[in-house]
Amino acid sequence: MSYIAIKAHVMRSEIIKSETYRRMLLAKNLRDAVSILSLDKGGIWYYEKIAQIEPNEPKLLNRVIYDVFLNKVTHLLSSVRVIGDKYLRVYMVRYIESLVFSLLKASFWKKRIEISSFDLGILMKLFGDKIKRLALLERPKEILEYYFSLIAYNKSEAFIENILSIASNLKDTFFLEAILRKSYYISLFNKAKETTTDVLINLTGIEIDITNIYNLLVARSHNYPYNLIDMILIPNGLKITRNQLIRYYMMENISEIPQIYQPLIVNYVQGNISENIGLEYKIYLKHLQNITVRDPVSIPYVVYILKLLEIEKYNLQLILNSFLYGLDKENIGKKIILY
Amino acid sequence: MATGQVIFYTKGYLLDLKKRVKLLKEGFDILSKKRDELISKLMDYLEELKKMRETVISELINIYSQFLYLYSSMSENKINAELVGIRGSLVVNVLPISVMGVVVPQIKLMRSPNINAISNVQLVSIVNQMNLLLGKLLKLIELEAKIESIAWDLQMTNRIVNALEKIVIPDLEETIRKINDMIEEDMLEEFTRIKRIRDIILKRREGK
Repeated sequence: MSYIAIKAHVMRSEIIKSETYRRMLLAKNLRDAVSILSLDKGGIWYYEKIAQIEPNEPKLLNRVIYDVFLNKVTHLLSSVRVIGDKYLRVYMVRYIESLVFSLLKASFWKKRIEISSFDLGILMKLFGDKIKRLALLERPKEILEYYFSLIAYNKSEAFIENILSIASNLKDTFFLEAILRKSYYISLFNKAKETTTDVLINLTGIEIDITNIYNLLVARSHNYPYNLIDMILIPNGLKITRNQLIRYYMMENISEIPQIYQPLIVNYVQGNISENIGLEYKIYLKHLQNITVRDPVSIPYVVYILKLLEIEKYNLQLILNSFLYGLDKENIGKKIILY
Repeated sequence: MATGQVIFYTKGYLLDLKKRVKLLKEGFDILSKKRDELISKLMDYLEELKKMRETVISELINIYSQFLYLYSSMSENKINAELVGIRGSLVVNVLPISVMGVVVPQIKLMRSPNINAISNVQLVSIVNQMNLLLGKLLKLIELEAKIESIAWDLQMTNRIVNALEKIVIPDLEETIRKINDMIEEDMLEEFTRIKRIRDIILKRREGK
């Protein structure tokens, strides 16, 4: 076996195998399901931590899963020594997106939320000491500036003032989030272009397509006018053009939307949203499965493994929570993503 | 005969009682019609309630189950981040309206919480579905309250109708009959007495 094959095999072996998920779904209870994780090389990471807590406490369980997930990400990045890579640095900002957005919303509506030291501790593993600054930010403007600095995207003070004033007039923080996501993906796309790797450019393009579709659906429920749609649409999508998206927004005709994305819209319109759970991961995976291992320490392969780790976290959360909430295992079996 | 009721065996009282019975019978007729109408309305509302409750419960189960799947797949941080910006609370106005003299509540949704801060598309869909269902839930509550008020009023009406039909009117009719008998007896006695006096007067005249 060549070094490349061995290295790739080792990286892949840290991911929980599909068979383990199947066996977990057959377990009688949560404890049995957790103990099955100990038999899988990738699952031991989760097993060791979950075994130390009371898994019947959903809040704690989900936090531990998130903690282990970030540990695995940190381990992966340090093992392939790509921590300083520009693309990955921007890519990983998605892992603190929800925290930044909740702080932004809280400060916008003049509420106060505390970031727990537990959360800060978890995030420091990946983002270092600069994450501590986040806990000190209070004004929306400061949080926006912080986010732009994280994604290495320069925006003028006037731009920030402008989007804040639009959000104030709309009394709607979704607009701010949509603008932040747009900035994030523009920055990520630029970094992907710098790597000149088609896989990354295309993957970012797919993520942009899905984000645009989701943004349009939310914007419709908020009755956004055309000029705002224009502001939140992210350029450089892979399969849908800006004009196609605007035409869809105006006429609600999905015939122009590529077939791969149509279920996302159809399920949303029919109110059958649970069918959409995990669908985007399936789309990403379909795209990433064609990846060839020429270099296991290359950024595309690392991103592929990162996506698998995200899917692993999603699968685990879904399976373990299904025991807590008594969800139908057959249905869960259809929703987990096997790779 | 109603206990404690003082009876005057006079024609005036008899006439008064007859008027009262006539009035009570008219009241009884009206109340019987009201009872029938209330029963018919209650049956309609119950039928409507059954259908509405089935729809609302099945929609609620569907939304709840979708939310559970979503909650199970999203991290708690993400869910919390989505919920931070929700402002305001649900405000409803309850107006009393009259249906056949029965005061029933009418619930009007005045303000819903502002959910514009939610940006996760799946959560938006669930919250929108829940918002639509909220209107139906309020209608269901209104209908249940309506049924409860009507049922209570029907119970009261039924008691009055039964009391009139089985106790008050028969009692009064019995009293009328008794007074009638007494008056007739008095009249007969008076007639006999007058006849005897007339006979005595006639005999005296013949003796002279």
